[in-house]
Amino acid sequence: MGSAATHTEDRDRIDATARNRSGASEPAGGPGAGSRRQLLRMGSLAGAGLAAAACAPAPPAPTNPGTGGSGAPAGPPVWGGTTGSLASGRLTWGSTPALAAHIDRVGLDVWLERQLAWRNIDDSHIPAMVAPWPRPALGAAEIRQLGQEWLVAKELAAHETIRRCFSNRQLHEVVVDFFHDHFNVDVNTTPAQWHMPDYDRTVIREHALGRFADLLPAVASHPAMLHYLDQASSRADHGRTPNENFARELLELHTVGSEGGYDEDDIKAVAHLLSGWSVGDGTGGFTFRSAWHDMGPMAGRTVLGWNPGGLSGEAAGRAFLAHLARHPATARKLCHELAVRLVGEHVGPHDPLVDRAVSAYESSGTSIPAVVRALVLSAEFGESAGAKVRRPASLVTQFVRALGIEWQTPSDPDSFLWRNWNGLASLGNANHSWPAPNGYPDSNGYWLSVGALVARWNLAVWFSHGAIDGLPFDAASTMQWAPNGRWGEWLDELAMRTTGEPWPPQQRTTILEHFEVDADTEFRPWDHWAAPQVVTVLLQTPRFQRS
Amino acid sequence: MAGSLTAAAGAVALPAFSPDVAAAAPYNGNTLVSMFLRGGCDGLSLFPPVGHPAYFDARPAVAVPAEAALPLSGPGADGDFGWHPGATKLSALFDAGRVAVVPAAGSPDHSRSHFDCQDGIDKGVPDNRLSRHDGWIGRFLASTSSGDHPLRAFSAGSGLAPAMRGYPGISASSVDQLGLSTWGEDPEWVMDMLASGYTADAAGADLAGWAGTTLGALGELAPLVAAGGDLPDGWPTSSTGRLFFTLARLLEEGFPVQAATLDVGGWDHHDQMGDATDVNGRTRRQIAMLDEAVGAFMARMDAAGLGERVTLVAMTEFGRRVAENSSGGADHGHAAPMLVVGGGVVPGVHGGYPGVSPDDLDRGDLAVTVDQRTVLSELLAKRLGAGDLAAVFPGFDTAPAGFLGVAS
Repeated sequence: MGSAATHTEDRDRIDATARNRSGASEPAGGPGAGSRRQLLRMGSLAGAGLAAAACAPAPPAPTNPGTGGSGAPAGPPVWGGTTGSLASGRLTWGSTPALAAHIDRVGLDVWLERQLAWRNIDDSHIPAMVAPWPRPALGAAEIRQLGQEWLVAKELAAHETIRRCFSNRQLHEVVVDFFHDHFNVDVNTTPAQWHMPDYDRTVIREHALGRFADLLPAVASHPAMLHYLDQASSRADHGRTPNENFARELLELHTVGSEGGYDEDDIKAVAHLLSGWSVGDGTGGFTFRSAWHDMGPMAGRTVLGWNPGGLSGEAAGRAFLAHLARHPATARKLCHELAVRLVGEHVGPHDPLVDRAVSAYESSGTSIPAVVRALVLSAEFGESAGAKVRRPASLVTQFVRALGIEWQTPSDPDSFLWRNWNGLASLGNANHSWPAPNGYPDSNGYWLSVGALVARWNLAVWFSHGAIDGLPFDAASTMQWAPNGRWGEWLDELAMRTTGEPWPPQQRTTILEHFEVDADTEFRPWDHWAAPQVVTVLLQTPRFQRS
Repeated sequence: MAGSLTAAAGAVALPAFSPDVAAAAPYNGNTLVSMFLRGGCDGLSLFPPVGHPAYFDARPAVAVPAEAALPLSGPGADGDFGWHPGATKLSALFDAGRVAVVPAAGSPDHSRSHFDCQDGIDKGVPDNRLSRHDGWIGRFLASTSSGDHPLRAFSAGSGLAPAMRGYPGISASSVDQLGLSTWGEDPEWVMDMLASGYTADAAGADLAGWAGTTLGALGELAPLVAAGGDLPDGWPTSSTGRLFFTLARLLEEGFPVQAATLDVGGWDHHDQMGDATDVNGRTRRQIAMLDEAVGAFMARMDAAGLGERVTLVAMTEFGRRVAENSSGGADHGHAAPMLVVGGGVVPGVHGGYPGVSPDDLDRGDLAVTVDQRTVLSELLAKRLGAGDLAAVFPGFDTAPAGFLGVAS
């Protein structure tokens, strides 16, 4: 990706600016060196723990591939330790103390119902914010006509970052992201990319909080998916061998899962069943091409408890999709995936929590809100604080929301467009860019490594220095939160207003020492230069990495 | 900035990981680079069996024409195969005696699922993949000790490779990503603040552990980051090329990287594989992309005097079906190609070839003659030395049988 160079140049330029105005620096081995030695020892201990864990066989029926097989949700409560703080971190794109307090005040059940009724929530401020980038509002033909189709992915990503930060329909945005992973389409492929905005708008967003039985056929008949998984060109007429790609992923990823009870011959039969599910020429929409259709071995066969009877053609495919949506293996796979997303990867597919979610799914006619309700209004959810490591895209939005950054139409729309895309790409989490049909991993272990932590820490530096056109932040302005203009009260207000909990005492002391002040010291004329550094330290703390 | 970071690292070197329980595998200067071709690389394109008429029957539209294939002759080949015309550098490396080809490797997993097959191979337990969380490289590293330098394990890419799970390896796509941005602040202080922030998080062990490992590695890496990571003129600019360059920089700077991983995506060619004689054909572009990246990397290793130290192994989750489909592609098959390139190889084609005639096939696909774990265990034993292979590949008989494509 040619974008890496741009990213580096920008960072170098800003580094140089900051260097010119930096204050005095501390000699090596200054305050805090002791804690670093302590942590380095912990690093080695963690390594030893991993080594020991690796020698022992894993427990039966594991489902979380996390590094070191971290089982139960470990770690301290995050964001103040209340139900509201947990819910505001997990069920939105970024916790804020104000939202946490709101949820605690009205009750999680009340807040959840309001969020599930997402169409009733006013979001009328969003269209003006995303207006600088037109393509996501268009259909496939218009996108091609406008030209520069490669901008589609970047513009859609800009829209999504803005929605994630500023939409009032936060839970909807979270579930939309979940289903973009579940029904992943890589936006960097052509011609799927022409259809991506429509797929996002009319399929994923439309049905994310609806019924899975409606979502599944909408996905299966959308040009984005049909192109991405090569179904569009599959034909079985005149003895041709149909393309198996979509048939396989429909069963393995979208519905019953690889343990769902089918074999290779079933895949080949379903590929025949779906032959003819195609798209019109050029940027055309879904078309069933009956001349390409042949039921082949599917006629007279039973797959996953379903047989076509006398059906053939498009009607047979639709009947099979309806069967799949209600299949018990689909219910369990979907409910387990949602439990991993909303509660954590320590939840196994046969845990009581998933049993209850499956019951809700089945008794509600495949209602996704019913599943979310069963998962969130549970003891297991309440005990899961800190269980999830934020994925990079959600770390970005957490920074914006915690710092209370307000959107400002960027002076250069291209600048925001590329900063957003390149930043997420360098973190390995650009929108709709996972190259395989299974979507971005939802596993703590995948997102933690030495390089990944460096990238996360560096991201904190960008935000604290207000280096993003469109998301302005002046760290020095937070000093106004100190009513008497003193250092200690500033640090306390900064931590409480952004995270809802006090600064860890040891780190607070070290910061004061570093800037050669006491808690009671009044701001000195040059202290505003220190503000970005102080905010950086805050944003780099582990509390931002978890929800 | 770089200087002070280096000094800091010297003062607080990471202690060894539980040295009293680990088997010693002293770093012998060798590096194993494990490449995973994600998506299902079509071995019938990479090494087209042009000596088998059934190949052309099964692939009327997308077979590599015999006259277009590059000659592949050597021990075990017998005129069976050619190289894809896009694989010019691999073909030259083969002719120079530096490549072992395994055309029909695979695993006992018959699911034809990308995710199940990748998971089984990455974990090294394809017949029992749900029994483990960790990967085969991670188990090798965690069960041995080589002094445990933080650069002992490196994943080229934005996250730790699944095969390396179970060991705190380093990952990065580019050299730049291994640098801590301090924005003018004293890097010593920034690292101290990070340490104190994560120490306070002691109850959540894995974040604190990763932070400690990261801070240890940052000091070591500072000189490399300061030197920059710009691609030299003529280096392949593909994402795979960039990953290989990052790895090359680590190795030529002398970091004791014992195991490295590198993922190469883009092999899932269900449609429009294209004409092998057209340089814009889809499969041709993909093979040429891999070929150029590997060629540039090996040339750079040779120039650094590391050509006999570094061994690459390439694997994929499955090969593709022998018969093409109606979209001009091939669906998920079974036996898959493996390549071993560089230090210590026994050149030639290994493991035999089961054939592509209808009677030769296993459920319609190329049959497996060599288990991937046979190749990997031979590499671990002969290139990296020691290690408990029974722990790395539990339940698998790792006694040498069949492959023997690694001399030492």
